[in-house]
Amino acid sequence: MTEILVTALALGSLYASSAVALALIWGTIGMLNLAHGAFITAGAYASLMVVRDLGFPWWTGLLAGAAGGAAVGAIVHFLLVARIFGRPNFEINIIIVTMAASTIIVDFINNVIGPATARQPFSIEGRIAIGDTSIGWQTLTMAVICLGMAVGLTLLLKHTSLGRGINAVAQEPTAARLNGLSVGNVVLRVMMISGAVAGVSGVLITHSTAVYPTVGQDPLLKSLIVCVIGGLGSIPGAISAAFLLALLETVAQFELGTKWGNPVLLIAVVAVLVLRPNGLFGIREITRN
Amino acid sequence: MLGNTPQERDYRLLAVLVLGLGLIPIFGPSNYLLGQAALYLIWAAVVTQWNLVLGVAGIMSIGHLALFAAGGYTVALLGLYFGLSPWVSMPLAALAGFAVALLMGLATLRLRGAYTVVVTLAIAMVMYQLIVTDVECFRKTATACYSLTGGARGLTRFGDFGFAGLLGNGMAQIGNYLLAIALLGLCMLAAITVAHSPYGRAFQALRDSEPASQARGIRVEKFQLIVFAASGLLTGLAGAVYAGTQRTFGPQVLEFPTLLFLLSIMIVGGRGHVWGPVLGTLCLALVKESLTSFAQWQNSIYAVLLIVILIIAPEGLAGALSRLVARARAVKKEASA
Repeated sequence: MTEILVTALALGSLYASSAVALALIWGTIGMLNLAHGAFITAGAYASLMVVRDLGFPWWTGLLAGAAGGAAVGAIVHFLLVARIFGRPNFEINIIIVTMAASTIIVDFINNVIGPATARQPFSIEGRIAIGDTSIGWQTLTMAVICLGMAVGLTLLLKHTSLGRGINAVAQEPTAARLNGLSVGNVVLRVMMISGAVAGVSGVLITHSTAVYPTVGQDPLLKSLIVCVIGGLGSIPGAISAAFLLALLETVAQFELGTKWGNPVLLIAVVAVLVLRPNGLFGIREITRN
Repeated sequence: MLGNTPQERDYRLLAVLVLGLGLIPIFGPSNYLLGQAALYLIWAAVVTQWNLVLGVAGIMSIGHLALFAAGGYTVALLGLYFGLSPWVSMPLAALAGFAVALLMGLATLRLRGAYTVVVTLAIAMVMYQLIVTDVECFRKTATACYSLTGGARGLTRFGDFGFAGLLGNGMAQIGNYLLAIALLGLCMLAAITVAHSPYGRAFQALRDSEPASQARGIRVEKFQLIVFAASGLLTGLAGAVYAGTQRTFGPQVLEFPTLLFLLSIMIVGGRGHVWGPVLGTLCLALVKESLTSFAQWQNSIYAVLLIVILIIAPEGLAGALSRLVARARAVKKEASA
């Protein structure tokens, strides 16, 4: 029982950190970012290159992950989002172009860096005992960093001028512009913050697995499911849904076997959406165009 | 000339296209060329159906290849374990596509755009993961052990349409090619009929402005479900034709590159336009065959093409072409008046 809870906690914090990045973009720009998986991959590779290839200490990997993710976020913004934001069919077109963008990034990694699988060179030794089980320092560090990012993002949105700007654009871009806010600038920052958070979560996710070009695909699916259950673009909703789903997935994997994790999550999504089409915590609908 | 409504024009154009494609084998093209052509025709057929769902009915389904896979795996599994010929299992494959589409439609119909994308994509991805992680021993041969669905390697040696026996040796590719034309013809027929039906116009209104059409009493959920399920029927059939002509079927059809290729066909051709899938397939086939030396960047090339078209000409080739035709007509009318 404690084992399930500890696993679920570790998994939940990973899901939360990756899902808040997706929820931030979804909630502010009204954009479902299918390049989210590529942000995660970019962060993982940036850390790998800085720590393994350049020989910097392990914690610089987190910074490199953030920088890599933010850089990809900025590129996606200038090349794609800035060109179709506010135009007809934005909602569906952005989904299609971000999917295409993620393919280009995976292709780039495959052809330029190479398709080989690598290990993320980051490990913290030791465990601490909790009741009859124990938890590794590494898991605990991961959980703290992930939660820190999720909480930090929530605070940023509530208490800073950038956060107020983001909320203004989310509510009504035209009104925000009329009040002297540069919408393009806010969108760029949202893309970079989301990229940075996704990049760091990419570094953390790949500790327990490995680094390979399509490593972002599974976290993308998980983040999408978490965000749908949490309610469109709601960050507190995404955090709560992340832990709920992590618990559900862990129980399913312990009881039914590893491969049933995702199918059980899918059934949960469909069930939740049939009962509450706006997600568990979603209240209002956000529409664009 | 029989009638001249846009619908009748489309039917006539389709008849010309099918006849024209059907006459090509007379000129003795190589087997390689026929094989590639058959494959592209099947992809075009799949895109006509996906376009009907995504472009015409406005259901944001990204998981359309799950329906294709349902059809293909039906043929492959029935052929492998029960020795059924693809001719026999083809109707069952269509039913499998229909059933998956119905389930997908029921699960997503009440949802708004982006939620539909997530749920349909999740269904296709979970299907993929279940197949790829299927390694349990189901069928033992002297040398190896195979899982029920073939896992990541996919299924082979489940039989084919048997054109080599029906038409004579060396004619198998021609048979496959003609069958693919028949499939595309059938799918186009369905697409033209739906697009010009009153519901096609209701869908159009709904896409242009949902609140305005709801205010005018347009409720299309029921017809969205019917279009979705019907497209599942034909997409399942396309999966069966793919399995029976390619003689192999694997989870690769559910991977991102396949999805991106078909999506590029739809966007380049023109989303929501009846002739988009045919034009898009022609364009993408030319791109693919002329850039074989850049094979490792293939997916990026499709992706860039898709992005550029979506940004500079969101209506695609069919949209640009129909504007040209309309302008030519207007000029002709002015000249005669």
